[in-house]
Amino acid sequence: MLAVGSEWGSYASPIGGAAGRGLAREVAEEASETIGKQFARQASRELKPVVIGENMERVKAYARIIGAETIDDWLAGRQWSLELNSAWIRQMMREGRRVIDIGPDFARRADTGRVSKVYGLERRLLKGYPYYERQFLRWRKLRGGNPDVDIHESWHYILDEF
Amino acid sequence: MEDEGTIEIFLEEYTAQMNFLVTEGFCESPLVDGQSTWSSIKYKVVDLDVAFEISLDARDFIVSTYITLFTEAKRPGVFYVSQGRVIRLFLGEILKQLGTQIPSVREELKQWKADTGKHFKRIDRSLRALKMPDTKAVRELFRTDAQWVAHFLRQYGKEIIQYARNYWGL
Repeated sequence: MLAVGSEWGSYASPIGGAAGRGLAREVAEEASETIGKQFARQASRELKPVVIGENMERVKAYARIIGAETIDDWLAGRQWSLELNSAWIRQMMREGRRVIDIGPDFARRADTGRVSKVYGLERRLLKGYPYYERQFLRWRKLRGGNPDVDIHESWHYILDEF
Repeated sequence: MEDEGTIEIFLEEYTAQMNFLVTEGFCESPLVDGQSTWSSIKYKVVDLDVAFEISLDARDFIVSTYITLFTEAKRPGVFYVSQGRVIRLFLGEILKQLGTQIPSVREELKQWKADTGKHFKRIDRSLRALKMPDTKAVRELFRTDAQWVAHFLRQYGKEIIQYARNYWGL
């Protein structure tokens, strides 16, 4: 998978500023202390990967294609909350799961002008996590996506630029 | 948000406003789908492979309205594209196109974004502070948006459908 641009450098709307950074640091420390690397490597091979990204219906569609799980599988009908979302990410890291990121929903951002705060939080929590996989292209702020679920015209446009 | 969930409010507000699509014989009964983090309501146009779809991303309180190629859009593992073609079009994008022919649409489109944006700001403030927004703010956002979507479908439904027919060659 070809990756373009720097998503980390340009991601603009993390949740909670200092609060989010503190939480991310705490989780990263917890992960490095509690996960034996060997255990995590083994778990990442045995457990299904999980998919994150902006727009949950889109995330679900991609998870279906690759046979992965989403937070909905873990919630199993429970009502979603910010706390449960953070708890899910922590658990996936403790289990050493592969976390596949299909990135922002650029089409929705262009339509609504809104950016997902929760996806931003997930990205912060996963910073430095060794089994994080980026599965999307990004070109400047408003173009890019994952070719399996996102709009193709913008894709070809992006690839043409190179 | 403890007494009543985001998804319940979404379903109540949008089905109430869109009910005319069914009672006036324009669409079939709505199909509701979803899990803990999202929900969607699809109104299939009678005798045409096109649907109006209203989709909630419950984690971010973002509602998107699409015009979809119905049989493709309901297939598992499909989102914006299927077999190389776009199968979900944003209502806002179609209205922008219509606005080049019908001047009133341009003003209404601006007002729609301004009205919903005002309500969304309150929700955004809560999320930034790592707090769940209050039920009243969520209901006001969804009601305002649903009223606007219903207005566009009532006023310009035929033109929107014609655009979709041309786009997909139906």
